Amino acid sequence: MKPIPLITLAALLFSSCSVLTKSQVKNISVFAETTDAFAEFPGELIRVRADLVMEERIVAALQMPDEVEIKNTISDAQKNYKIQRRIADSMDLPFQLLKQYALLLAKLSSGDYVESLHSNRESFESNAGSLIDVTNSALFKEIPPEAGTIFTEALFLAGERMTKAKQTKALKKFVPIGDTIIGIVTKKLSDMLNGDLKTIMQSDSTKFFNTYTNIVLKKPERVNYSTVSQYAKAVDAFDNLEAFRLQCIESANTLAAAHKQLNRAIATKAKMTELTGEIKTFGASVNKLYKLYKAIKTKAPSTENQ
Amino acid sequence: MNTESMNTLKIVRDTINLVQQQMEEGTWTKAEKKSIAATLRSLNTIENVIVNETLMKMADELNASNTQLTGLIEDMENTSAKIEKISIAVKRVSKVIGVLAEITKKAIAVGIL
Repeated sequence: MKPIPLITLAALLFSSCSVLTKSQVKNISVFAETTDAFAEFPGELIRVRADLVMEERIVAALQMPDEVEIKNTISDAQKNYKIQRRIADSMDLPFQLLKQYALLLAKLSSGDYVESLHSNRESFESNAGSLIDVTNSALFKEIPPEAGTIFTEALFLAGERMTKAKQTKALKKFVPIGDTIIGIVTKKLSDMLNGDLKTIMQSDSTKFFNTYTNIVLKKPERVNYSTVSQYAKAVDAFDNLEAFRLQCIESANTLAAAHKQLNRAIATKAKMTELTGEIKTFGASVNKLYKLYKAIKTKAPSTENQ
Repeated sequence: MNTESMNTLKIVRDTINLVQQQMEEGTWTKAEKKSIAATLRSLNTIENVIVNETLMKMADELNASNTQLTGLIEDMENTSAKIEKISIAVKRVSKVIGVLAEITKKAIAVGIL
């Protein structure tokens, strides 16, 4: 009967370890889901821009004097398009890593480990009970039959406490490191979107409308419902892309603020409300980003009718 | 911000606009049109180089923290695996107890115990 008091003692010792509150786990889980959704968008901004640049090159090809020059212009444009798609893919990488980090954060804060531990409980209890029965039948007959249940209870309580304590320790170690990296990545993204990319995108828009005016709108023989409709769609697409850029900046900033809030709450064991303001703001911001992206994809201009 | 590249981009795109206008408004022979078309393609190539270099620099800057992030993710995965080991250890103890019960039962049956 010696192991039982020892394990019970261990369980009592572990029971003093702190664990995350339910609301903290929920906040981390929502943060992970939102980061997962956000991760796709910065690269998409570059891809959508590449689509509109390609569109401008197709319109510009109409001005070429013969089929050889048209084909050359389109071939150049396609090569450029592929390069820009590759650049967009490489821009995805840090956000895919952030997504992985957020998902691991959710895993480390979840009750999955404890659930997995408890999934062994039934067979453990039955085996312990069986061993006690066998031993009692042959030997001392002095182990109480309920000892198996008590033993199992104590062991699983200790296991649960130990698991939760390890989870808390891991989160306290990793979240501050994650916070620094998230701060750096989101700041760089904001700077990029507010800097040269903003200038390039404004210039893209000017170039598209100059090309369209020079080659289509100034040529009465090229002006018809389709071409005017294409022009209207392009105006819309550039407006949406600009809104998408601004929303990306807002989402990156809210991502950093939401993680900062999680970091503070985990470090200080602060109780969190059901969902904190920062996590809600981050979720709402990424939701807006998704809606804008959807609008861009459904209203994109096309040269199909020309 | 790379002001020099952005200024050059503006000049190149303004020039493209001017050349396009000239091509539409002027009267040109086919050979002249081909020559203007070649100029436009060259200007677009210069534009591509400026824009793509700027975008690549941005991508490099964004990717600068990847090594740190990858390291953090690996540490988290290792920790997660270690925590899962508690459950695995319990499963192992459970099996050992089960086997011990079987052995004891058999030993009793053959009169060893």
